[in-house]
Amino acid sequence: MQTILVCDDDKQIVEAIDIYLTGEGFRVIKAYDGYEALELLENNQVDLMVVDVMMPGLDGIRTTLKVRETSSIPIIILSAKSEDNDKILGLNIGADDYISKPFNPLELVARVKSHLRRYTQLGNLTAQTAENVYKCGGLQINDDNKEVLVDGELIKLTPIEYNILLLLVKNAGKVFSIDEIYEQIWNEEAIGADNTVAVHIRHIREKIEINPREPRYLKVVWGVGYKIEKQ
Amino acid sequence: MKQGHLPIAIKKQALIFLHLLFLCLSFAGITFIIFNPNYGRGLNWLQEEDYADTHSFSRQLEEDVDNVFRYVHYKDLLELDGEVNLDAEMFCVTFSSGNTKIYTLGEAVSYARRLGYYLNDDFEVTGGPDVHEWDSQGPSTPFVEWKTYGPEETYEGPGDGFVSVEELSVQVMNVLGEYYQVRYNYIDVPSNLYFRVSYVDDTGNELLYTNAGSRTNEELRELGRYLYMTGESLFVDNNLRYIPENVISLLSTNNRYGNQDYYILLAVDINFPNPDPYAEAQAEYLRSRNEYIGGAIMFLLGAVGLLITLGRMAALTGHTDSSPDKIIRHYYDELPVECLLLVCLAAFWLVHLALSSVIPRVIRLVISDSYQDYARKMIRYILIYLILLFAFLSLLRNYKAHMLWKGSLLYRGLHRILPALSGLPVPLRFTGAFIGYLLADLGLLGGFYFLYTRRETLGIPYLYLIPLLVCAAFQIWIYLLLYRGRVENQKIAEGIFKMSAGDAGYKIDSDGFSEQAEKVSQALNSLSDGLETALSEQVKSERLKADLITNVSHDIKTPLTSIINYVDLLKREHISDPKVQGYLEVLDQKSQRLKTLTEDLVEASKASSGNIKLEISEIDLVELVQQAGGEFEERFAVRHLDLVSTLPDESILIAADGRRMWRVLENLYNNAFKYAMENSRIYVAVEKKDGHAYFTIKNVSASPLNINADELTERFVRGDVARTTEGSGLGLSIAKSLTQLQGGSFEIYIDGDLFKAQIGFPALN
Repeated sequence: MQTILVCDDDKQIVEAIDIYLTGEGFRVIKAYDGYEALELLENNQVDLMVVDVMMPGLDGIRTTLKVRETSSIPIIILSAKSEDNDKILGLNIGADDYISKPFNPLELVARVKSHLRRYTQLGNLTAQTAENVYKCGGLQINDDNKEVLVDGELIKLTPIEYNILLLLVKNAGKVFSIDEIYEQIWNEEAIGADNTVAVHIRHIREKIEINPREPRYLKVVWGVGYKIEKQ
Repeated sequence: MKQGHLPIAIKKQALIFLHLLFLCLSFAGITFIIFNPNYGRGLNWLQEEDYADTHSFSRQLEEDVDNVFRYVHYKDLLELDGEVNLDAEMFCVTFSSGNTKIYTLGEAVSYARRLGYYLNDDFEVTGGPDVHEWDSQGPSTPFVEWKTYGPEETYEGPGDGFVSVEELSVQVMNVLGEYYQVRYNYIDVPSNLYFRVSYVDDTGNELLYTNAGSRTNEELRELGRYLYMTGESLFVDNNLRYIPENVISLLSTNNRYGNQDYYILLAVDINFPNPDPYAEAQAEYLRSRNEYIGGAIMFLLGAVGLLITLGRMAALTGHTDSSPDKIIRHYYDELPVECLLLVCLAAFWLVHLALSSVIPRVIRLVISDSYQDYARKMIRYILIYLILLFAFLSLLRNYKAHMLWKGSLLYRGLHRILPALSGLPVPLRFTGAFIGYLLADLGLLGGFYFLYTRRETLGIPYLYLIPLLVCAAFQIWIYLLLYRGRVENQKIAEGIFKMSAGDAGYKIDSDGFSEQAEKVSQALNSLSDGLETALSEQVKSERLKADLITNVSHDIKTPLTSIINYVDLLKREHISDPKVQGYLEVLDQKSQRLKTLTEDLVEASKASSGNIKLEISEIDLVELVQQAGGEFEERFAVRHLDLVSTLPDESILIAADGRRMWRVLENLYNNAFKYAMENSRIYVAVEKKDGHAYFTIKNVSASPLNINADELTERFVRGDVARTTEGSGLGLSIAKSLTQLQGGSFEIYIDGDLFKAQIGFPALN
């Protein structure tokens, strides 16, 4: 059983998260400020930590910094601050994810699971270095058997969706415009714009991303095109 | 007590005294210079010239050349072995009786002496009888046969040859006197002039006339200045500045022999060891030179002193110890400046009058007539200077007290007239001023014409130029006034344009403006001050508002999280009572709406206050619209809305922040999704027109649009209530603010139930 440390000064929030995560079969230990969290972390085998930013005493940012001195467990920051600056700060100091309050409980659970899978299966994933296997973070495509895995979970894609994703993953980091994607996948010139490609991209995102509005893998570069984030 | 602590009154008196002293000094200096014989030769002579180079030296030399040749002439006649030969024959006369008598030197001299003639200290013949023989000229007058001292004399008329013995004797005595003079001045007494004249007679003997003794020609040349000339050469060997003109002719006329073997050597010892005319003249020359230098120094000192004391007087005048900050004016300073000038003119006239009548007579008592003109001139200049000094100091005091202009009659007159005029309406005043300008010009030109046509009768030269010059100055003044007005207008206009263009902090630099323009520019400046503070206040308050909303939203979000989470948990409890399920549904909806509202509120406040960091880059508007279409197509299908896109084939680039542009489109599409009538079409189009890229979205509203287009985007600013229960109603407001922040235009048109939004950006390609 995997143990998750939840730390927030609002007891009701901790309680709610406890209920959700326990329901999903995790063991939850609770802390109400940063010092308490550090103490619990020392005395317990913890697999993942969810931490609030604004707390009395040691805040979430400093707690994360402290934890990162000794441990590499996944840390998800939970905060009422939803501005870009706060997110960038949180991710830069070593957090793995950033979820703004008020959050969707299902999304939180999904992200916790995803991070745990990646963290525990990291060894397995790096071991597989077959020729036709493309990887990008938790996203893995095996071109031999046309399989797509996200954090180890098999994803079902249509052939066109698969081809688009393969194109993007093969060229991770490169931005493709709608016309380029169309020409590559359909092998014909892109005349008469319709929304086909954009709709396909949306479908792919809905399938491989936890929150399609804030994708981790397939990013929309608005006004330019689409790309797979190099990880 | 230090100089600086002297009472001002004493300082002033000392200054006046010193000033007068320096005035006298400089005039004395000028006098010395003017009466110096070298006046008018500039200053070069002081350092370059020697006495031996002067004209006076040359004149002296010329005189001496005459004397030398006189000696040459008389020496053979009167001398024998270096002594005066009294037996030398002088003249021969034939009396009417038929007797012929030859008079020797001794006989002629004793004859003259018997009659009372003698030689004075300068070897000139003086004395003589009361009754001269030639007064009773008659048959007793003898006929002159010959004269040894004047062999070339010829007698043209019948009476010419008859000369009395007395006259002849006096002639002889004169000759003797001249001989003695040369002999005494150049031979018996040591002289600074040395001469050596040499002729060779027909028998080949050299005849030498000299006062140089045994000195060789070379020794003589080294004494200083010399002149050497032979009968054979055409050139004069010399180191003189001016060659005596008589020497060449005298040298050849005194050669009584048929050969060219003669020469003359003249030498002057420029150390002038012996007292003679040269030594005296040199001493005189040096003295006058010293006088000249002294005079120049006196003049210079005087002038410098005058300037310094004048400067100090100018600085001190009007100040007193008792009231250091106030300028004290004398009772006569109260006179207007015009009156002062009149008084000065009157004083000049008085000086002129006095100099032509009274003063010359007084001067004559003291000064000899030869200096009359000069003295009169000096007195005139001094008096004029003093009058000018007085006027200058008076003007200066007025200037310091700022009364120069204010105290003038012109000012007082204008001051009386102008207030009366300022009550008149502007067009009348302006026209009046212009007519006044024309009249002034006309008057001045008329004055010029009047004086010019009568310039002969008036007798004052160039008087007619005065109105012409005044007229020119007047035009320049008017030009400067107009010019300044134009510049002021320009500057003020510039300022207004700048302020209206948004540069609220702009200040008009009113340096050198006229009173009126200064007032206008100051008013404008205070206006811009107000504008600036208002704007900065507004920016500040917007920012405060945004900060407040952000902070409050943080505080709302935490309890909201719990509400959302626990509603969700309640829903999972599988409550079967439909009433409770309904309540839960309401709670769920409202809490979700509260969440959107909080997020939108923060975004809207930041967007409208400009508190957002933009990442501007080149993006393709067509691509963006395609992407947005892909995101929304399926959602639109839920409400049976058909998305109809009209997009150009080529890309259209704009400079914008891609993510923010997506937010704009998302809000517009969301708006269409929420409010469009079901089963209708939503039209989106991208087109390029006049260098601008336009995105347009059109849909037919489900409910009547009984609202103003502006109100749709200004809900947040106005604090109106949102019109539906869905969303925050801030979407359009956020879209508009974000578009404008990125430099784009955002317009909403409402035509009946047709809703249309258009975004415009400058196209880059």
